[in-house]
Amino acid sequence: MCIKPIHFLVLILNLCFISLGLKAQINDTLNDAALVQKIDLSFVDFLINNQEHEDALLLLKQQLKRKNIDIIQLDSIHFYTAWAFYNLKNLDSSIVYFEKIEYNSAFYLQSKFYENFEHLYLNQHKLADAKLAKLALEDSTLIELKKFQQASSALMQRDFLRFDAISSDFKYSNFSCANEQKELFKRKAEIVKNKKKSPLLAGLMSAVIPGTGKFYAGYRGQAISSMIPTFIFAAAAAESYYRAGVKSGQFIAAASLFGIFYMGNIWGSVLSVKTFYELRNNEIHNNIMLDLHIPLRRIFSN
Amino acid sequence: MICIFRFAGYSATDADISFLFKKADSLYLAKQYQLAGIGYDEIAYLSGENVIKTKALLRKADCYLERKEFGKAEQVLSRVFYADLNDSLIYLARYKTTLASYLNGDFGEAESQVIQAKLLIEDTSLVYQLYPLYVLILNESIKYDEAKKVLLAYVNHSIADSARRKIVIEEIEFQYIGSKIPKLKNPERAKQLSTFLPGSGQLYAGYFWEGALSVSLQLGGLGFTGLCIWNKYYFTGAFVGFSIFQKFYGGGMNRAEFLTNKRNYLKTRAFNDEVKRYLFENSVLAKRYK
Repeated sequence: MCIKPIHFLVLILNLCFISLGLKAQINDTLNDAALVQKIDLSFVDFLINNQEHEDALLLLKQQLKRKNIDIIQLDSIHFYTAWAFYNLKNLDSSIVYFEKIEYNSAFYLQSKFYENFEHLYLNQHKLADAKLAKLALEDSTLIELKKFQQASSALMQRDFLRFDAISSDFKYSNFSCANEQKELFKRKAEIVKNKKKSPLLAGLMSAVIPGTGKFYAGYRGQAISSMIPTFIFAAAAAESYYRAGVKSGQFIAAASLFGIFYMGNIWGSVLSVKTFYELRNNEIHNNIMLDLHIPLRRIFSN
Repeated sequence: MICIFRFAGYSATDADISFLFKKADSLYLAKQYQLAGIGYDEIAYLSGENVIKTKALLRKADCYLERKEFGKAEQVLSRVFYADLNDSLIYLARYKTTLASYLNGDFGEAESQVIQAKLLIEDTSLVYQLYPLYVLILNESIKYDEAKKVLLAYVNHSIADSARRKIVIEEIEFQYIGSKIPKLKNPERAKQLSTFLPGSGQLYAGYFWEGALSVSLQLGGLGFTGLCIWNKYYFTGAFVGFSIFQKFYGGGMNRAEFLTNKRNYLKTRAFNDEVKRYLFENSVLAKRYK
């Protein structure tokens, strides 16, 4: 039998690749084997409590590779995985694992409330609403918490009718969330006060008196700082016009600078209406999220 | 390696703890630092004895130090409970915390750890072992006199041979000689100088050309103002010209402060690096740094 040199070379190369692949696989198997044992999840809890979230996730990831995991263990693994991701502020991954927890699990209710909190944080209000609507509860504290989350979601969506309907049902009898329920009304007042203003009007105001559009938008300090250079260049242009005439170089230079500042000021005023509104909105959103978080920590003690 | 992580409901005996240490150590030697760290943390979790917990936490901190995650190492070491530890363990824990804080650039915390070690460790020979690291921390905190005293105290304590000790002391005196120690400039003074005499703050910081440029720009602004007024462009002179001057004037003051800070940093860095190089290369002292 005769083997051509090229065939021999291909054969050797193939053998090398197979050997390297097998070596890598063996290493992976050894690493996995170090972890794929049934572990006490209280150790994982211990790691998470000590801020060792990546270590906890490594253990939990390997646990999911185990065969014959019973449903209770699986729920626990999902819960701790979600919890570690939550602590790492990796909320979308956390949601994925919270969602996997079965109805019968001891972690189910806590998972659902944290999952909805994460949806609200990520501005996924409709998803949160749908999940909260499906959540059947018997405990009075949790019922209040559910109403609180629903009302917060309505407020974030600026659905005041729904907010009023839900909040009218608040009992304020539960220490865990009574204060935060009351705070929601302050947030509503702030939202109502933070009305959307007209960019057109802001632009027109700045066209008539530079800087006033920014004042109207809410940036009072910026109004003065943008008014001064525009007036300075306007004065310089007027003086050049008076002294040297419209065709003079100094008038063209001063008028050009005035034009740039004047137009920039108008455009800036138009944009500032939107930015100021969003800035204030974000502040209110963050305050609502903070208020949402406090009852969760109180009720689930973590 | 395969059985490092225990089964649920497992209760650890001394033999098990020793076995777990061996396994975690083998992972450490194989540079599997995260797995080794988990192994050490499991020992800390399982053991009821504070001494064993502390040893495990110290090893876990080593794993983070190897991974250059100095902040995490500090965090692990903050879990050490010092109440019933002997001097050598207190020393080790304080030393590693000091090292992690120093490497993390947290010099205040590093110094605080050394001070606590001095207060809590009764065996002074152990405290002296912290001194080489303490010198580096004091240098970074620009406490050169104290650093020199600490280094001399360490040498006096650790070198028995008087002839050799004398040579090292002379070398240290040379390292910390007055002319070599960086003379730091006051950033606030640089700012004040530029307030009263434009460009002088930059000059004080040692940046002559920046000072000259700053003066030129400010004079340019003033010149423009004067020229405008001379030509009866009063508004242009008063507002545009003066605005140009005012911008460069304010900017010049801030720049003088920034340049002084930059100069101080470069000078201290050069000095600290030179002392560090000496300490690491000195045949007697270098042992302590390895």
